[in-house]
This record gives sequence, C-alpha cells and structure tokens, in this order.
Amino acid sequence: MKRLNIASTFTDINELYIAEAADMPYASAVIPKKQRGNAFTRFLNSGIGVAMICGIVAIGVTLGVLMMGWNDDPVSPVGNAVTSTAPETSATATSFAFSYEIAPAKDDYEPGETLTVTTEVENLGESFTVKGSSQAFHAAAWLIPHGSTDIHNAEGKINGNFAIREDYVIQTIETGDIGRHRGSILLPETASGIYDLVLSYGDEYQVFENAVRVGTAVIESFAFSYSISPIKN
Amino acid sequence: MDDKDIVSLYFDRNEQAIAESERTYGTYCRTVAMGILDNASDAEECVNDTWVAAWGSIPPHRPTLLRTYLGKLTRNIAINRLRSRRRQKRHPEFMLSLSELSECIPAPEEELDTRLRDLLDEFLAAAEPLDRKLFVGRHWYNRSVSVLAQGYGLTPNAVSVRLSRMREKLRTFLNERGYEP
Repeated sequence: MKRLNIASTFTDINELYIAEAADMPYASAVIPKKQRGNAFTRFLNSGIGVAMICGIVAIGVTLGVLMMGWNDDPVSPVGNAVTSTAPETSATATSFAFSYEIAPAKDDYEPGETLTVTTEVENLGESFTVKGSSQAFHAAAWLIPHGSTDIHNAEGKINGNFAIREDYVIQTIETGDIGRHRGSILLPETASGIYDLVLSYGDEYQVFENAVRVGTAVIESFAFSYSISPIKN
Repeated sequence: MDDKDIVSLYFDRNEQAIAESERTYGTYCRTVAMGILDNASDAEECVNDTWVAAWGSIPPHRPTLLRTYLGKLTRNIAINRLRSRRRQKRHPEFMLSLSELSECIPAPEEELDTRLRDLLDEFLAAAEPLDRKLFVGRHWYNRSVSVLAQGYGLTPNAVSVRLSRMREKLRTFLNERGYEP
C-alpha cells in the first residue's frame, strides 16, 4: 500500500519534533475525570474543603508571622528576607501524597547543572484502574519559575520539558501503592532565581514552592506547598 | 537510569539494556504501537521486536534521544506489520490520519523518501510551535482531535482548524517544490 510509504517517511522526521509533541500540557485531562477517595477525601477535594484549608493556612501564616517576625526581631519586624529550603512533604491532604528529593542536595545550584529528581506518590484513596488508550494518565515532574500561575504551560517549563514523565496505560493502582519515579533536570545556562517544582499524578498535582534556587537568591516570602485537585481546564 | 546509562548498557552488550528500556520506555512504545495497530497483543509483539531492533542497531548507532529513537523503531515495525495485514481490519484512527496526510503529501515510491523527509523537517521547523505539536501529535502519534484538544486545552474545532491550515500550508509548500499529492 503506497499510502503507508507516506507514514514511513513521516516516521523519520526530526526527533526533536517527535520529542516536543510527546508530552501534552493538559494530558492528564485526557481520561474522563472520576472521583476518587473516600468521603473525607472527596470533601477535601471539593471547593469548600479547599476554602477551609486555605482559611486554616491563612490563620496559621498570620500567627506564624506574628510569633516569628514581631517577637524575635524588633528592628525589622515584618517582611524579613527568609531563606528557605524546599518543604519535604505535602501540606494538605489529597488522594495522593507527594514527596520528592533532589540530588545533589544543596541550597543553591548553578546554571548548567543537572539535578536528579526522585519522586514518590502514594495512593491514599481507593483503588482504581487506569483505562486509557493513549497517553492518558501519567506521573510527571517539572520546574517552573517561582510564582508562575500557568503551571501547565509547556513553554513555562524551565527546560521546556518534563523532568519525569511516566505514562500508565492500563494499570490498577491499589490503596497504599507507592509510585517512585526518577528523572533529571538540566538547568539551562540562562537559569537564575527561584523555581517551584510541580509534581503531578493523573488529575492531581502539587506545587512545591522554592524547591530550587539557582545562583544566590533570597526568598522574600514564606515558603508553602499547596495542592489543588482535581485540575480544571 | 538515564538514557546515557541505558545506551552504555547496549554498547557493553549487557542484556540489562532491554530490561531498562522496557522499564523506562515500554509504555511509551506500547502507546505508539497501539496508535497504529489498535490491538494489544500485536502491539506487545511490536514492542518486543523494538527491543530486538534496538539490540541490533545500538551499536553502531548511538541515539541522543533514546525515547524517540525507540519510538521510531516501534512505529516502523508497526507500519510494516500493518502492511502485512491485507484484508484484516486496520486502526480507523490511523487510517484517518493517513488519509488526511495523503491530501497534502504525495505517496513516495520508496518506503523512505529522504528529500521529502527533509522538506517535511524544513516545513515543521518554520511552523508555530503549537501548530507543529498538534501536527506531529495528529500524524506521528495518531492522536484523535478530541485527545489533542484536551491535551492542549483547546476546543476540538480550534484543533481541527489549525490542523487543516497546516495541511493546506504543507500542500502549497510541497507543490512549490515539485511535489503534488
């Protein structure tokens, strides 16, 4: 069939374009969204749950600022520059618990340096089966400039690609299952400042703020991790 | 284990290379094969053939992007498998994608027309990044319009329009260089 010759020729296009199209920024939304977890988890996943958690966090922040800033440093009480290392665990409960390690572990990285990112995702909700016919459900990790609101924008990724990308096509994930993934991030020569690490698994993700500092940067706010789920397009 | 380590295993003729390739890129290659064959057992055999082909071609070849290299092997093996399916059902999504592609690309006499391939690369290099990703997603990964729409946060109509414009531009581009579909 001569038409298949077209397919063969097209197969051999530049690998960079193939790699570029391999990952889709909203790929986790490809499978129909389904509610996971028990009633408590679903409540936490709801808008009210998120609002309540945000409220609790806000009160905690206020108290923290009052106690740490105003009491300890009478000279420059508020808005002190605080140097923070990356948080290690999730701050809020979701169906999945995310954690990560970056090697080599240090406070500041240099442009051009390669980081190894190891992530763990634990399923805290009910067992479920991924039934995707394409790249439907995946575990991924990537860096974005600190404070960036458009975390899904592939162009916003620091090196234009995922540090980790592992697809699940047909697989049952039991309660308590832990998925471990590892990948590397090459910090471009132009990298500078503070970057947040995004970990995603299926339709949930978590942003770990201030995960990587390139050069000698100072974080002028307190560091928090947060999660929003499920992702809404 | 990263790509460099896996490729080193191939060069050392260490069979662990196959296991690592399967672990890291098995799902990806299976997805590529399924996009063409639409049959799980055929896709599985196709992926196994990919490891054999990788074992036979690395060395001497040293791929810089192992994932896409393995993906290309898988895609070629899947297409060859499709050639041998004479009367059997073919994957409707792949055939639709191929049909759209044949509207703007002529069918070459040989399985691989290197000049045409170079022109395709030139065309893709000049395209807008999003259009290029959609085009390659549609015609290399054989993703449906609805999957692309969800994957890129666009409406299906927007994806269809962008793809249609890309194909029209490609047809004109190739016409100007002596190719007619």
